[in-house]
Amino acid sequence: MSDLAHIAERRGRRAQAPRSVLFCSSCGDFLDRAGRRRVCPECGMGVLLSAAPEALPARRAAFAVVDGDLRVTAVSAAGERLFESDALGRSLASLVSARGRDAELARQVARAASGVSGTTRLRVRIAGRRGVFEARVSPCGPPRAALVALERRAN
Amino acid sequence: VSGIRTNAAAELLGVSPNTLRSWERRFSYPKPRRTAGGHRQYDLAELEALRRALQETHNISSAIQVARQRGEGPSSAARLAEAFDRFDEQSADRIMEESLAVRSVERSVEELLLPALEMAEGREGREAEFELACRWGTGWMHAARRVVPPSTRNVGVLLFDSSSRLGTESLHVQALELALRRAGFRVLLLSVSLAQERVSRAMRALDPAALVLCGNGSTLDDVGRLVYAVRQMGSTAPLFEYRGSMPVTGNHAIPSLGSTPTEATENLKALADAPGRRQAGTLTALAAAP
Repeated sequence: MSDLAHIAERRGRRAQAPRSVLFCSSCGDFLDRAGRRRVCPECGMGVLLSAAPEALPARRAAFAVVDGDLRVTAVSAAGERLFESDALGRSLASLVSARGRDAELARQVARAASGVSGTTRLRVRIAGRRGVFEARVSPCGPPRAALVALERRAN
Repeated sequence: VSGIRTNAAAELLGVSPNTLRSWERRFSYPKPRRTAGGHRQYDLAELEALRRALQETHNISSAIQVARQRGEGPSSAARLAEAFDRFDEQSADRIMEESLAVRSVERSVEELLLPALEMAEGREGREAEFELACRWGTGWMHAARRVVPPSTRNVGVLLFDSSSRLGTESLHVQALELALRRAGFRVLLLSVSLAQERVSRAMRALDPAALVLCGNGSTLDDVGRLVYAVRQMGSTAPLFEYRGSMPVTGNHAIPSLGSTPTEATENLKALADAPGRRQAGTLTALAAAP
């Protein structure tokens, strides 16, 4: 392979590399760019975080931001409607269970909170809610944390 | 107090003026003063605390909570003592962290930690708070000691602690140990009541250039045994006392290094660095001091 072709291939690979999405920790809306902003210009109640595009199923999704101690540090508006009580500051384990795979859920969240890239999907139940949900666990930040996005799934 | 208008405050935080006003309605923070004309005047320190807190948190209410706590005023010994009284170790951690942003480790220890312990000591019915303060302070200094780089001076200092229990004086001794290590000395802290043969092994390992008697529990017998053990080894390292640890009142022949870790460290550094004052690895001088 010639040098030029090699460079072109590398550039192509870089262009295909997954980009991140910028979203508000409160309303869950997506933004194109933050600039110098830290606070969401739409709702003014959340800070702007970034995550991999596959981390969130849709804009304004239900999600919780969880720190390395597995404590909820932010919840989106849709997430607040999902949890039966105020989730902020509570342990994720008191809100979500992974149907016998709680240890795996905790491990994935801790990994994501430490910045290990990749999105993991697990089937979970939410305290006080009927039905099964899919949790997508990915790293987000800054500051570094795990994003746990929740989406209802058929049983 | 410096105050800035709404638009400038909003610009500083990267939000709209409406967002700033909505925070004021919802969280009562940041809380502006009003000028005679009714205009909002935001406190720059509050805004700066909030700006920093926004970078460190994931939502507005947490950022405001953090900024409020920081806005309680500069870190002080009184605030640290209050944190001990509430058994609030997280606050104590935060106060020391804040102090480290504007003070050195030595100053944080001498201006916050040790005075806070003195405030917490000797109060009737507050023994539990004082014990927590001492244990927390010990933990904090151990953590600080773990990140001290290796010694840079080939001068060993052997500290003999005569404190009989955990208290302010034993924390002063730990503070001295930390300060000496940070100044590059090789340091060993031992109990003054150690048996002679154990002291001998420590002496051989460290080859100290100075011995320091610390704490407030020594007896003349302890000092006598210590000096005897050291001289038996053939060491000519001078013995100093720290914070009046000699169990005699009035004049005595043991020179003092001072009453604070910084003072003692500076004295030992001056002796170690002064040309012609080191003989065969031993610190001489000061002995002539009153």
